[in-house]
Amino acid sequence: MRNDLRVNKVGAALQSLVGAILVGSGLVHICSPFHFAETVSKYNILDEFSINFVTLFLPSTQIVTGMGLLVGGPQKWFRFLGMLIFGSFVIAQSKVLFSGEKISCGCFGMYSHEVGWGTIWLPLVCFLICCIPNHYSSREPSQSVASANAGERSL
Amino acid sequence: MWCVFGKKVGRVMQSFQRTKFRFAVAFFAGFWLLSPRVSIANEADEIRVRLDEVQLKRGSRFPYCGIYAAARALNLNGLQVDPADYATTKYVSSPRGSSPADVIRMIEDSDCFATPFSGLSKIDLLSIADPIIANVRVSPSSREYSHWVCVTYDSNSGNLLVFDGALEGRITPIEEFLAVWNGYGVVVSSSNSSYVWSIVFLRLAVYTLLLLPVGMLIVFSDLGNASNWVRPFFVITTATIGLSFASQLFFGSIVNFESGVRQATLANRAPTWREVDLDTLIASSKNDSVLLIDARDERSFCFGSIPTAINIPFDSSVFGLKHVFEGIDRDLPIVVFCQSQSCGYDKTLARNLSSIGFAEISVSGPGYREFRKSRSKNE
Repeated sequence: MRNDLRVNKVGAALQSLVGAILVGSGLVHICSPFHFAETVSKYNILDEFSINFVTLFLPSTQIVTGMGLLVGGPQKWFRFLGMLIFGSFVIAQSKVLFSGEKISCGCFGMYSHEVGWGTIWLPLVCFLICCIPNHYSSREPSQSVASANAGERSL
Repeated sequence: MWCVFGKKVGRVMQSFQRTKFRFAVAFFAGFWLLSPRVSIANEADEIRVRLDEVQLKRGSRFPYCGIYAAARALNLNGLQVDPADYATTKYVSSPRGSSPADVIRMIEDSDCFATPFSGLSKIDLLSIADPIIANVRVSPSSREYSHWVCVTYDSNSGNLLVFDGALEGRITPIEEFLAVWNGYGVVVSSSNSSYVWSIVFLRLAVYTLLLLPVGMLIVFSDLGNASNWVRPFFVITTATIGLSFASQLFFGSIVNFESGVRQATLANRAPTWREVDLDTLIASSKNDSVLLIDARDERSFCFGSIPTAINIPFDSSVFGLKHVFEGIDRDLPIVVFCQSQSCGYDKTLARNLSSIGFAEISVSGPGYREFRKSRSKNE
């Protein structure tokens, strides 16, 4: 029971961290939409219409997902969105890395590093954090916490 | 072998001593030195576009864009300075132009206050009353932020007033400017007014205004107890769409969003011009309804070009191009060429012309060299 609680606390802390990263990155992108569009177009993955769509909606999706992970709510929905967002970042950076292009990552605005192994680990770790807690919270969280509390009282 | 080489050098030295040869060398050296004056003198009686193009050359391109932008910012603060006085290595520290430190040094040496900021956005441009020296791309087709312009907000038109080099200030829509700007700017003020806290408080206020409703929507919609996917989906979609459009009020443009994105992504998009051959280039040179543009630098142009062509150098800034082509029909057929088949300046310029709205652009594969050869064959 104690282990379950500890895992839940660590999971919650990691989720909050991922939420903060998403909100921070989203705010940087939302402040300079056209520069973000330029960054997206450098990846050479999307066509013109999709770049418009992504530029308009991706930063706000990041912020909403990040805030969902920070303030609570339906965690599985926000974790799923986080997985989608970070998964797409990993795929985009991998494509650039394996095709040998030299472009700025654009992860945190204008002064980001060039895409490389040093930039790909962050979205990968965040993606894994969004995946792993799903396994631990397959039970209803309220039930597990309630049973843990009951166990502690009986001890 | 050395003996033969020595004899050859001796013969060259002998020929150099001949008066005719020395006269020829002096003539070509003099022509080379005076060539920019010859260029402007010839251009003076040409059509209006060519005159404007001479204006375009004055400081709107690097390496002097930094000192021109700083001088303009000082002028707007009431100080009368001449950019020519600052054309030293102290303020233009590399052949590529002035660094941010050079620009700040120039402002401070002129007894004004310079405050550099990175990560500025649209609301900062609208709220700062003093002129800003902004770091921009020379044109949407360029990938480097290597150009300086001076910018202020024009409250009468609701747009920005952009000063590029020695050109007069030009009203520019905000999204067009944002598309080429990296958010770095040096605020120039005559008094020691600090914008740091006002920018921080404004940014915090806007973030609160945007994020508070989203947070409240997530907390109060009680999504944790939703029995199916409909409610969470509806709430998340509403929050995302609302935040997207609300943020554009402060940081982008709702009406001209697509146009801004088109400009910002121009450097990475596929070309939209047609390629034409030598026959078409020759035909265009005889056709008055086609504008023929030589994309090489002014020095190459003044040594010879296709007679009906005008010279717009490939590295002209987008603000300068707009100045030159003000009032000219955007459906005008244009043929751009440069030195030869392997030259790429024409494609750079064609991309820039396309970014300011020209639709009928053709790029000639063959350049001036092929044109000259074909003309000499026919003669």
